[in-house]
Amino acid sequence: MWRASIRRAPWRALTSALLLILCASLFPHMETLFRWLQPDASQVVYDRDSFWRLLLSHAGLVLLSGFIATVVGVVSGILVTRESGRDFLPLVNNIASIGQTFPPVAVLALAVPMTGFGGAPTVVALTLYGLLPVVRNTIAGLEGVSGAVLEAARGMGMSPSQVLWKVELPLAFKVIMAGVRTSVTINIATAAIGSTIGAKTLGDPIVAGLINGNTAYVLQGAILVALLAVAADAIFERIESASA
Amino acid sequence: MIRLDNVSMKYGEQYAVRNLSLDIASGDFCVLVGTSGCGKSTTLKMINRLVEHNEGRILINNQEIASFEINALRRRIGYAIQNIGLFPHWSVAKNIAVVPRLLKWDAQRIHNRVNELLELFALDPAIFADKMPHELSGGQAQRVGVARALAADPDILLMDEPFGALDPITRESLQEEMLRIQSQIKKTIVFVTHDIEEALKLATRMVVMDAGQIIQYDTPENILHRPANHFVENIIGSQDRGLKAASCKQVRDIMRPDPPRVQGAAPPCRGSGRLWAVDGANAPVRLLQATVDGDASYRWREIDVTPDMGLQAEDSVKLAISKMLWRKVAALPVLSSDGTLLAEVRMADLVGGCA
Ligand SMILES: Nc1ncnc2c1ncn2[C@@H]1O[C@H](COP(=O)(O)OP(=O)(O)OP(=O)(O)O)[C@@H](O)[C@H]1O
Ligand SMILES: [Mg+2]
Repeated sequence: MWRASIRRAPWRALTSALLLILCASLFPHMETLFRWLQPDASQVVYDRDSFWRLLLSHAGLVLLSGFIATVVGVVSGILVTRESGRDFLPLVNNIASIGQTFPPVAVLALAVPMTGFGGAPTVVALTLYGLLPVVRNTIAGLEGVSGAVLEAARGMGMSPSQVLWKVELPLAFKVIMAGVRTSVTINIATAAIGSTIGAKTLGDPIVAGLINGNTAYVLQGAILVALLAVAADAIFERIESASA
Repeated sequence: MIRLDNVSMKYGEQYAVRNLSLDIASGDFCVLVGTSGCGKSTTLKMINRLVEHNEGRILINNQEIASFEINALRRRIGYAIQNIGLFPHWSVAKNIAVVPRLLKWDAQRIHNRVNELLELFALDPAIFADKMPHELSGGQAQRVGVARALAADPDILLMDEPFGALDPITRESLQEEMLRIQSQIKKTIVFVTHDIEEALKLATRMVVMDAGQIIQYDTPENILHRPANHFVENIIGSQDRGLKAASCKQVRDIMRPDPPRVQGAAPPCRGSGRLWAVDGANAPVRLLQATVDGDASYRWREIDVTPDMGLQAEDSVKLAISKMLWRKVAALPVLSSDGTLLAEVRMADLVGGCA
């Protein structure tokens, strides 16, 4: 099973990415199909923005927030597992687990009063929400390095930074990456909700479709979000199996 | 070389080691024994500052260890930890090369050193160099752990139960290996073990510890023959200490060279005591033992010498005793490497003439 999933991964990443590109480019030309789904609407293909622009903007928001969340999350995970930061470990651990139980919509709603509408609050909200799995997995990964290995590393005369870079981070890499993967895949879905607070995302057709009762719009947005999530997930799987 | 001067160390309020004073001379093989939790590992770790002592002084070459740069100190001290602790993401070769790499040796020198050590520990470099730690058996991992400690040729070796996970055969061969290494390149070794026979065999000095304190610091002979108190007696197992003493003595210490022998098959018609019948190549064939029968006539009892009866000069006296008991003979031949009769071991010499 383990072998099979590794062998399947490359074409899963490739096909989902291809399918995503195909759908984003072909949806505007598939009026007949969507007309059949939604015969009574005046418009059946979302055209207030091109799907490509929405897709790129959506991916951009996720990438930017994912990058910030990863850097901040990994750094704070490292800090609280150092000798000097240990006191904050329980605190950060608790915040991380409580934060995970918040529904994403709530996080978005909370971000608006702080930053107003548009892309900025969405990035803030996505960063905050995406931070939690990264922090939690960084801590779990670093704490999971066996005490004997650390004792050996120190006893051989590695400096604290050598222990971190040569031993702890490589050993925790898989677990940290799993956190980043969770964070990014969740945020691909969460970013769509960003449309409700004025960010340009693949959620736009979904929101418009829900407001106007246009199933075709909803479907177009949902398919693209789902394909983006699947493609991202498959790419992470590639990275993980390459590092194994 | 290593001096602990009234050293104490506590975890929280609890002393792990208390008022410990220990002088380990350069070239000593110092073995720490004691019950679990008595502070053996803590004592080792204080020497490379994995734990810092709270009171007293620790000196290496008359310099306080607190004055050394901590990582430089550790790179000078080989350390084989109790739980092996191989780096799971690195190959065997890379594991062994850790300290040489930290010391920035060049690649060729590291490569040669790694291969040399793998061979020393009977791990074929062609097979083992690129294996990952999870592909090793417990005993192989433990050997890699010891090789890693030796890699940068440190003057001081700290070894915490390094042979704990090994079968008796591998364990014994590694003990021999340690003794051989030690006789060639004199290092100062501080070694922890639970195995008293191992301690008696390897140590030039033994430390018996209890509850964070030293009960007796002495040579293995004195620990065996003059235990300081009841606790030491218990540790060395006073019931079978005779066998333990025998296991740390070599046949060469008690054998008698050039025992009486006759060529050919026919025993002389009269004689007393014991004779070895040897063949043309001077290899023992039979043991002839003079006995007096009920009618007061002399007879030779003849015992065939089988290959398993032969001893080597390096064998332990314990092995000699075992072979005597098994074959029910009072003398055994000591053979040279080419199988010729070199000496004999007599039961009488084992028990001080009362047999
Ligand atoms: N990190 C620690 N925190 C608190 N107490 C500790 C710690 N490490 C060891 N101790 C305590 O210090 C004492 C000495 O421990 P140490 O590891 O030196 O024992 P040991 O003689 O090596 O035992 P063993 O033979 O089981 O390895 C023990 O009572 C132990 O419980
Ligand atoms: Mg111990």
